[in-house]
Amino acid sequence: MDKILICDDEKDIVTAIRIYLETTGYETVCCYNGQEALDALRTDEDIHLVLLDLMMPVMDGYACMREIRKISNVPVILLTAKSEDTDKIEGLTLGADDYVTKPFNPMELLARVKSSLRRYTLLGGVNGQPEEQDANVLSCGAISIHDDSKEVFVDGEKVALTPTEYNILKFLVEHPGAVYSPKEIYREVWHDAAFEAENTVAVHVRHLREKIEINPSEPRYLKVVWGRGYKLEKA
Amino acid sequence: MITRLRDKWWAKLIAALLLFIMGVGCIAGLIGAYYCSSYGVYDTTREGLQERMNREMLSKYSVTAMANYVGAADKELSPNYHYAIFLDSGTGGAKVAGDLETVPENAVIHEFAISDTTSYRLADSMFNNAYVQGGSEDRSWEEQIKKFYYCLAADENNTQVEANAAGATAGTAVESATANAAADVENQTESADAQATDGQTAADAQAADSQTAADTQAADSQTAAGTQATDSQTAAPAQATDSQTATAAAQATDSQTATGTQTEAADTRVTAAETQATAAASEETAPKQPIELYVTGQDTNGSILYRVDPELYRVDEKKGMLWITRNIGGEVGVPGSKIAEFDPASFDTMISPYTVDRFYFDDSYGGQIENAWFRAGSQEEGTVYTVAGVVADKLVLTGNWVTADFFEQVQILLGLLYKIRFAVFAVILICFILGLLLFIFLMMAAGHRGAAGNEMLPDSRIAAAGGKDDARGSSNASGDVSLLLIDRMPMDLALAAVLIFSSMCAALVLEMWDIRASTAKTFCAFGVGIALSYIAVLAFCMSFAVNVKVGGWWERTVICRLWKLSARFLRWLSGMLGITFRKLRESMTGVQMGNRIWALFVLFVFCEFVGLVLFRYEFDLLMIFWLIEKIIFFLALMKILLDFGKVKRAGAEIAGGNLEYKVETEKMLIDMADVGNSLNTIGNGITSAVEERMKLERMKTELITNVSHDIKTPLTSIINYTDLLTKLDLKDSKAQEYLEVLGRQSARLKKLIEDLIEASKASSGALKLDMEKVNASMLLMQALGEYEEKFRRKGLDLRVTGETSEMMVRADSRYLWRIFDNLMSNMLKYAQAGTRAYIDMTCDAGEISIIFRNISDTPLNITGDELMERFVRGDSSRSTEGSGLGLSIADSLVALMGGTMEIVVDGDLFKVIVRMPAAE
Repeated sequence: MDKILICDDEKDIVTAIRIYLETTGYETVCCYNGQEALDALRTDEDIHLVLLDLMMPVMDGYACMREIRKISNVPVILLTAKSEDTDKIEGLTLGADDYVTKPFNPMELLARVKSSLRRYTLLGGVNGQPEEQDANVLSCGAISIHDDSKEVFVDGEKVALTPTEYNILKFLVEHPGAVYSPKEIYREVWHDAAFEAENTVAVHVRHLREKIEINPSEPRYLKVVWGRGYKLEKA
Repeated sequence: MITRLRDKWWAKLIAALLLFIMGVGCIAGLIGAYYCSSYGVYDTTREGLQERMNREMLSKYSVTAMANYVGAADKELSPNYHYAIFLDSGTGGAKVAGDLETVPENAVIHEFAISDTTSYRLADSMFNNAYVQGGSEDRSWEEQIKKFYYCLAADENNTQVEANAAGATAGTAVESATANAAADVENQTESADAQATDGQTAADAQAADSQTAADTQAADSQTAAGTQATDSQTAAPAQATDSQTATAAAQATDSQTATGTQTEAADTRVTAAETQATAAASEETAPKQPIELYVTGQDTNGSILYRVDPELYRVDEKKGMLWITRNIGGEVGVPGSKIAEFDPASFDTMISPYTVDRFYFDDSYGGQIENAWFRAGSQEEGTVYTVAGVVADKLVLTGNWVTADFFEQVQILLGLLYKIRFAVFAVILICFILGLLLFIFLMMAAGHRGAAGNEMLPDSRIAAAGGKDDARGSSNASGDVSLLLIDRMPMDLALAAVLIFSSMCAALVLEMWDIRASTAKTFCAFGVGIALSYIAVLAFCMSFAVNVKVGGWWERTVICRLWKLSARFLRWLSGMLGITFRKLRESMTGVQMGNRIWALFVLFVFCEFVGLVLFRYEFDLLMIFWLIEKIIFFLALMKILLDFGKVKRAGAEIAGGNLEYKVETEKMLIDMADVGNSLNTIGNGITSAVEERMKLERMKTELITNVSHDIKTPLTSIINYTDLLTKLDLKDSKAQEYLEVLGRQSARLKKLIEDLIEASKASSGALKLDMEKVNASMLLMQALGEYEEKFRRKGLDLRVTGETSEMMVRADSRYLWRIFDNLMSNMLKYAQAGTRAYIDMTCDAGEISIIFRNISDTPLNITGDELMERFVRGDSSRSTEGSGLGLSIADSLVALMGGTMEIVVDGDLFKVIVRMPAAE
């Protein structure tokens, strides 16, 4: 199984996460500061994921992150109590793949770990097999839509969507990063004049989000642009 | 040797004395040379000089005498004689070539030039009153001075006798005229009368032709008488000059004898002696009478008045000189006493036959000269009496300056001058050179005090020390120059003192000269004055030399000191002025600005006024004054404007946000400087305030983040382990129950902390808002979309009313969503199940209102405002999920975005009104 590196200066947290991961079936490596993490990464080439805290002695998360990115492409999930938007932006900009704030829902954490691992392996990671490039496959980031079979995969996992949901998602995946107002989505999907579009679309998007997102309240892909519309975040 | 000597004070003293002597010698030489040249010593021989001298002397006096000579004879004035003709002043005149000054008005002037080669014959008639008066320098000496030898007798060989005889005859003639008026020939009488009374005509007749007269006498008794008369006339002048002539006249008074003699005389020339002899012979009875000639001017009986030039002999002061030819002897005296006696034998015939004896009437005789008499010898047979006025041809030089008269003194002087005429130059030259050397020596020696016994020094050191020594006031080894106290005196003061002193001495000497003090006194004064002046000048020179050697003499002079003093004074003055200005400036800072400006204005006006008053009559000066004033004004204005400009710029900069800008106020006017300083202070103040504020903000934000972070970390562990525990699947139901509680509460704690952070951020304004135009109605729909499911599950019937058209607000979309999220979550939590809830959106007068209404599940006995407070919850038991911050957060967010939130509680109806400004 995949090996995961856990790095946090709080021993209790590290132990807890380790228990979770090992229960799930992953191997773990534990470090308590950035320097140890770096050393572990250098010595052990088999690590597939890094869970990194930001506030650590000796070498903090940001510096460690930078160093990691110099030597490896391994996915990094930042674990921190710093929940400000600016902190998130900064962390993701530095090269992190995901960001989890403390206190976290262990299930969510596990889900994210899985998704990141899958992505890593799918996208040509250490042990990954390259995905089949199908002409009728629309993909955006972790989402891939197989139009022939009307199947949707998020992080490799199949998701069951209603036709409306499917259409909305497809529409948005076709134009990644673009913001569409509810009216536009309605017109596109229902092929009808928008009548009470906002409500309907909002509901549908809500359901969609609940299905494809790990944490619907904090969507990673299907994002609400409040007062404007909705968009699908680019990968 | 010189270097050795220069230390010795005695050497210097000797040198000074020698210098003085040299100086005196120089001056004496110069004076001598001057006199020599002025007397013409260089032009002629010794003899020539003598003659010139004689001429000059005699040119200075005129001799007039009054004599009465009755007789007619042309007497030839022979050359080579000096003549002095004495006549009655006012009756006739003869002029010896030269200038005539006191010729009587009706005088007959005959200018006769007497030279070596010519002679002049005075007509008998003229002899009476002829006079010779002075010569002049123009004529040659030969012309001017001739000895006039008057003989009483007209005999070549015995002219003297003739003169006497003539004198006697003259006298006799006078008497005979009166005594023998009846006797003899009337012609005689007549002639005698004529001769007697009319002296002048007789004289004239005689003067015209003495020879003829003589001849006439020979031929005729009358003529003889005439001749005699002439003779006597001739005698008379002789008598006039000589008391012997008076004797002749006296003899002549013996008329009878004289007449007898005359008649018997066959020759024209009858010596007086013969006459006298005859007279004596004829008159056996007559005793020998001494010839008494009274020196008086009035008496015609042979008395003569002898006057000489007042210049020379001070006749005005009743002095006179009696000339007596030799071999007559005699006595001279004043009435009542005999003064002097002449011894004929005393005459030195060897030297010259014409030396005279003379007696000088000085002022001790007072006015007695007029009555002085001369009594000459006795009429002895064969005695030759000569009474004549004679001026010596050659002066007898007694050689004694003191007793010598003026003539002789001059003679002596000229002799001296002649002797020294070339020597003087030598003297001058030698004295000058020696003096110069001595002076140089003194100057070199000046200042060297020297220590006794220290004489042998190497030359180099002496040379160096002597020239450039800087030692002051220290008198050490020989060769060093030092200053005495007196040398320290400023040079200009010393010079002034010396000059004053010398002029005082000169003035003293001149004073003495003026008042004609005695020669001795004058010389004394002169000598003393010269000596003192000399000492002063020499001392000054030496002192100056010392000063120059020591150096720094200029600095000690009064002029230099005054100069420095005045310079210092000026500097002090300017310093004072500067200080005054500064003090004035400082003192003015305390005074209020307005008063100050007005005070300056008043001062300015006053100055203007003063200037106008002063210069109102001089337009040019007024113009200059005006110009100056305008220039000052211009400068002041310029300064003010510059300062103001600076201050203005500073103000603009600070207002514009450049708080760091500082304006330099050092050199500004007082008030401008104050403004500038104030601006600087404001800038500083604002900067520091801003910094302070920012620091506070940072602190706040840091506090929030740090605290939240520190809280969240342990909370994470709590949640994790609680969850793990739950997963352990404990069999104990109680454990499960407890775990559930733990889980719930830890979740709530997490929510609480998140909300708390949110609330504090929102209320402190630490949130960064991206305000934009947001479609509020769409947002509301989106929010509804999120909550629709939950509302349905709870059984709340949510109704949305109001306009559904696009309502745009100016807000941050994320935070607006949060507000709606909070409010709707509230509704979800606290609304009674099964009831209806309404959301209203309206646009009214540029403002968009969104109203959230629902029926509260639990009774609300709390006001809206209280509900908005933090941690206040409608559920007073605080048992439900909420943290109590939701409304507070929403309220803060609304306020941040420029809107308002209002909560209205009406029984169980709970209403929230959110008002936001519309964006169009």
